[in-house]
Amino acid sequence: MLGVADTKKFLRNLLRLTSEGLRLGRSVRLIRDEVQAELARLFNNAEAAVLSVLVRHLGLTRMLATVIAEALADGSAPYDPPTLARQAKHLEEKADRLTIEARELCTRVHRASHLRQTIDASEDAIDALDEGVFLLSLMPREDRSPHIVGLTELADLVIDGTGQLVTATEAAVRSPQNHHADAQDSLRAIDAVIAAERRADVVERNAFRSLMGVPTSDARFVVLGLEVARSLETATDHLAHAALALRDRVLEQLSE
Amino acid sequence: MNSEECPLFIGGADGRAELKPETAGAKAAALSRMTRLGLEVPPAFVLPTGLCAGVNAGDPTAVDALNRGLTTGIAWLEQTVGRRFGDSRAPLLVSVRSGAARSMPGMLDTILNVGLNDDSVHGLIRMTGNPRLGFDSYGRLIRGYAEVVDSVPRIEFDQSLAEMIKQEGIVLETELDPEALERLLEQFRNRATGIAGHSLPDTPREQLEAAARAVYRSWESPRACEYRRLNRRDSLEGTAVTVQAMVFGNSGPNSGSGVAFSRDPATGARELYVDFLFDAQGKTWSPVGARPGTRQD
Repeated sequence: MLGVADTKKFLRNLLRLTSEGLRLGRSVRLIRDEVQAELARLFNNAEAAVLSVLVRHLGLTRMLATVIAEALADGSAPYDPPTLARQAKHLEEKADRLTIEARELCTRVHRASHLRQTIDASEDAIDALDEGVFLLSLMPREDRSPHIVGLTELADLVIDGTGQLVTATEAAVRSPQNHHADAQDSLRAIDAVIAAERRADVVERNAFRSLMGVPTSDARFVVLGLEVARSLETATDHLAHAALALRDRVLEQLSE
Repeated sequence: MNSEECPLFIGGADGRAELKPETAGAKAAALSRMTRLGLEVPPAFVLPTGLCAGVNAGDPTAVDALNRGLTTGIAWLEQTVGRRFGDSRAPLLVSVRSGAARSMPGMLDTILNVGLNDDSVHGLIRMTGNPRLGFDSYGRLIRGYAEVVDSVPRIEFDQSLAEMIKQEGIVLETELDPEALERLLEQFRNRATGIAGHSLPDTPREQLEAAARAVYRSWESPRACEYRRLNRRDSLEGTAVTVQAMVFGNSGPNSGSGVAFSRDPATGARELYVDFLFDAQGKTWSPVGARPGTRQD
């Protein structure tokens, strides 16, 4: 479960702790406690490694959300679907590799089910954004301004939710070290991710309403607008699921 | 130089006095004036022009005044901003800027993001929720420090950047994602170590002191001396060093960095002239790697 490098490190420290302990006349009980503490430290390191990979993954998600927000910001600006799709593919492929790495690291973590759920939901979030970019790339090149009102706000909510989850994860890296303030920071940021998801429900409906309110002879604007809105809102759903799983992990650690 | 006048303050409760260009440099004097007008200016402290010659000559009194000024100034800035220098949760970061009594554009040095290290970069990411901003800023510090403090040639870092842009199959520097920027900063660190024998110090205070000394030293650079000779500014006393709380132009497409003039600098026409880049910080790394803004933007 620890992996080769950490197992070697553990065995080295085990020999050092036991030989030093016996030489200094420490009790067997104290030496056993020291060995257990060392083992716990290594498992915490593995957990910190998972969370670090998760922060990298979320960094890519946030960048993809930013790319979408930029593409939506000015509906009359020149629009380059191939570049948008290429950027999305590049970010999503990198995120896939990080997901595999995080899952592999998870096997070294004691009681990793919540972490695993956080990773899976984060992967679902970037997949939803990738889908959103694909749909956006199908939109006609004419002035899109009247049809994307509300979508920009949704994209901004994805950026905000992802950023809050980054904050929550960075704070959670420290919470196993019994830093109560870090756990509180993490929980506060998790709450903000969930608030962003709730706000996204409202904004999605507003976007639907405004799409239906603009007469158009080109059905592609309406169909794609609805689907892009749905993809962005789905991304906030997955981010909220990731945040809730992280919350369970933080609370579990506080009770340990 | 009276040590009681070091440092000078801009912003906060102590920084309401008017600063003179002759002692604080034109940049700090302008910042001070903007503060007094009620504009939002990040707080700063200034090591005066009067220390420049002494610090560069190794005069122990001037060096002592520099160190005491940095200690007092950073403590004041921490209190004013409410964050600690080099903190691993919510770090105070600073820019270390040059500024003579008369403007010498591009001739003197500046270092941005001072205070970042392997711990505090995670504090910046935690504080902003933005990994791209964290790794981008850290890479800029590693590079800026190596160029200004250790005189590592700019071309070394331009090569790393160009290679990374090629590897990633992108066109613009702003398209580099946080994963690529994290790898790039390690390449910058390796390049700096390979040439200078060391890279950015881990300790923020050590970074700050070296940066302040390097900015003073830039006054003596051949290009700065030649500029003063050509522009008949030989009577200037030296540069000041302004240490200012960082704000981030590289935090996304809604931010940017640049300069604004009340007249067109080319024609002299009395109109607003703005030159800036979206999602950029200070000087851009590469002339092809940035997206220029316009007045209409």
